[in-house]
Amino acid sequence: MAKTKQYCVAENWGKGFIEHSESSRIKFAGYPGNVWQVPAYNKGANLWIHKVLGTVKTLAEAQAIVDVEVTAVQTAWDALPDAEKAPAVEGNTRPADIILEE
Amino acid sequence: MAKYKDIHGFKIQNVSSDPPTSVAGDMWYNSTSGDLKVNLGTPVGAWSTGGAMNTGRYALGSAGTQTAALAFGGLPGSGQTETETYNGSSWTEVNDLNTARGYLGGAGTQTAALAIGGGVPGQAIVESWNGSNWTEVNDLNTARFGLAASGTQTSSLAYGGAPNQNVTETWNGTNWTEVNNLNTGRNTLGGAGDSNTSAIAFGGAPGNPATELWNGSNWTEVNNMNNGRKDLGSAGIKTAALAFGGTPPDSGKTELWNGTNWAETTSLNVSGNEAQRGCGVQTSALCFGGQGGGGTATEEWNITGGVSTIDAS
Repeated sequence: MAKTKQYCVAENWGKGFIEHSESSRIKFAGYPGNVWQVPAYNKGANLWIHKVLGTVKTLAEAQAIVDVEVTAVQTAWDALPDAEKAPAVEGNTRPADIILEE
Repeated sequence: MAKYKDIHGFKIQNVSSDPPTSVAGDMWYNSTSGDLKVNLGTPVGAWSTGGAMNTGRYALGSAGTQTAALAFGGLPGSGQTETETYNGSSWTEVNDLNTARGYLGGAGTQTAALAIGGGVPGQAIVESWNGSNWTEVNDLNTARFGLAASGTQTSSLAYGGAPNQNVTETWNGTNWTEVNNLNTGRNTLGGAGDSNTSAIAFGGAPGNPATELWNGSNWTEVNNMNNGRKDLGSAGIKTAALAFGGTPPDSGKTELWNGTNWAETTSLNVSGNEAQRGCGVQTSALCFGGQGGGGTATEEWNITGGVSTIDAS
């Protein structure tokens, strides 16, 4: 099955990194480790990767980058005193694993 | 310079009121308001990236507008005191909160705001921001965290909170007064409004889609969100609100409230994130912070298109 998404690594420099005109035409999803998911075989997405000097990654490579970042956040969470994990707030939970899609 | 008539073969229409319907490209002069207007096509809302926060965090307090925002407190750890202002392109650190805490409520503007409750366990502390410093003012009657707040520095509303509270309090600039409860108790909900007599509450743990409207006396249940969730960001007012981010899932979903119904629209660009916060209005909002993405990301929401007034000055 042909892939529907592609990944790249690019540093978000703030204003102008993703513009309104791009976001309204391309479905972006940013993940930890400066990993960005955009549509595959899409001219607008390819132009955006070029604009931000993104380094294209395979799904496995992108997943590995995200895993390192998520593990670091989870480790920091686990090290918190129980009182600071605030179990009474259902939103304040241990950061979850992120599984990227093909 | 070519004249409009030279290009299009006719003059711009001079009308006393805006036409009830128009199509993309239509242009007219409204002689009553003195505005030159153009239809720029179907309105399109989307998020674009903004300048990163200096201190990454989540479950923080927020106030202000897209180009004049205030971020304060938040997690991780036992709570943050950092306060930052946003000018439309970058964040600047300013004076800290007196009491570190996350999951607090926020109301007001960049120069006149309130930091309400928060902390674990929940606190009743309220601090007032004058554009330079935070000063402690009168406490909430009910200590809590994970609450929502909206309104101004002198007329605000605090509602909900952990654990699944329905308590509502109004602030008149001096004191908090307990008023009628939310119909559905919840924490980490979203809220928006411009005073202590007009607000909207939506979402909340564990993934509640319920929406309620506040008329100054009572909460009334109205149509649900399309995607129930907790720990979401919010902006706008009772009749025109914006809900974004939150979990589950951490997909950055965004919904528009038109006073009657929620409609799903373009998602945030940063995914895998939750506990973002925001400010602004439905057509021009700001989302910042969050858990899962480093906590510094900022996104700007704008709706372009529709009928726009041309600045001919």
